[in-house]
Amino acid sequence: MIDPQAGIQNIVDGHGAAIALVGMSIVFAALSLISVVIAVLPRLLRLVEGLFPEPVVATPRNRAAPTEDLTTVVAAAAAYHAARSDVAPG
Amino acid sequence: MDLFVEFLETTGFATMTWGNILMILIGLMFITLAITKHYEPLLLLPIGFGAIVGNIPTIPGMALSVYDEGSVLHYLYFGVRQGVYPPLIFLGIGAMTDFSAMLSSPRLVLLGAAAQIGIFLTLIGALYLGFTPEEAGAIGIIGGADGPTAIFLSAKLAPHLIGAIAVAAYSYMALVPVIQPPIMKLLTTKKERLIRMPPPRQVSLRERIVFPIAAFLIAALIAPGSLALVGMLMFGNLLKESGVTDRLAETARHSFIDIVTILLGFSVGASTQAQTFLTPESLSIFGLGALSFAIATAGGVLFAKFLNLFTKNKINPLLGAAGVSAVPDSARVVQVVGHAEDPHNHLLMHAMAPNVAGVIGSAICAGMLWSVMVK
Repeated sequence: MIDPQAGIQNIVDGHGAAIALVGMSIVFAALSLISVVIAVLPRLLRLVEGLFPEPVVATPRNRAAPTEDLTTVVAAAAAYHAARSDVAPG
Repeated sequence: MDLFVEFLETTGFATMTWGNILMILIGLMFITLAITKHYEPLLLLPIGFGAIVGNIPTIPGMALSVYDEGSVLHYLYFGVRQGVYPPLIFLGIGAMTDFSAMLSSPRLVLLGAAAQIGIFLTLIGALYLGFTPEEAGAIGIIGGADGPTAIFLSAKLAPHLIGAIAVAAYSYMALVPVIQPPIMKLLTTKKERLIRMPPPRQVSLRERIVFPIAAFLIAALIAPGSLALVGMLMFGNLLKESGVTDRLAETARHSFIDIVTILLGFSVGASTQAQTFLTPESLSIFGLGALSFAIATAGGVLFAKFLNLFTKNKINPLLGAAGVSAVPDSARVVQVVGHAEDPHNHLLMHAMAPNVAGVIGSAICAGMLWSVMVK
């Protein structure tokens, strides 16, 4: 059985309330700062963009060959467009 | 004949205790939950089998268990005892996390901070129950709903409680779909649950590259104790977003994290020997763990409602529940609860913002607790 008096004394001795208060303040401060940086970042990067335009880098991601699905979709779109405009695809 | 009797006395059958049998049954339950219910199978299955292995009675004088210096399991357990595995897991998590949702909704980051109230109120509860401040700090971090962070901090502050804390943290993470919805429904009105969020904006590649570096600098400078966890998380993310280290990112988010998860889960399970695990402290830790998850969920939801008092563009308060860092489970729960009210309301992408902010938040809390309690 827990003695409520001893329990509260243990919280006081362990600085429980102070740790909780400081801890929540720190985590809010850190995440608020991160939040502000995230909010300001696009504007900062627009300034940088003016000076150093983002190069189109041929990374493996955008260099990859179109997948079969994508090719099928493109082909279907081309066929649909051709059917609508009475022009043979390709 | 004497030799045979002597051998029989060393078998597990002769030295097995009821506690070992109970722990083996718990291990079997974890395996069953992992296989039949798909509750965190990547963790519950290794932990469950590890619990079975760890509860086979060992022979005095032979180095077999995780606690016997020189045994194989002792070496595997080194990564848990010294807090090596959690930052390595964070590397993999970073390499698989897309921060775009968070970058497109900065205000939702604060929900990840509010949910950390679970950590600190549980710490106070643990102190009330008579735990030392170090033990209370390690138990409180269960409220962060982040297994690796819980193991990391308990390795630093209360190594003797790692088994109970790890099992409690992962068990409750597996039970997120059960624990969270009733609290979310209790604290919100139907009208609030129907709130729709604006679609997230497009995030540029440069933003995604700059973010992990900026976030690491902020977190590590404010709470240097979080350096290893946040550092590895953001390093993994930079590997992913840079676009020039695809091979490294691929390894980090697949093979690497899988290997570390196997070692971590198995050795944590093997550390749950009945003699060290079945104690009144463990029961208190399980009780406090459940409480911490509930408080964390409530904290996030109530803070979202609080923000709505001052903002024009209302936040769906269900998103607050994703502030606990069980990624992506709590975000999925938000989606499911929101979807049940309005099948056309898709909250998953929005919920990922407080969810990943919660990961950063709990790592910062761990760093802060470590630094204030280190002797």
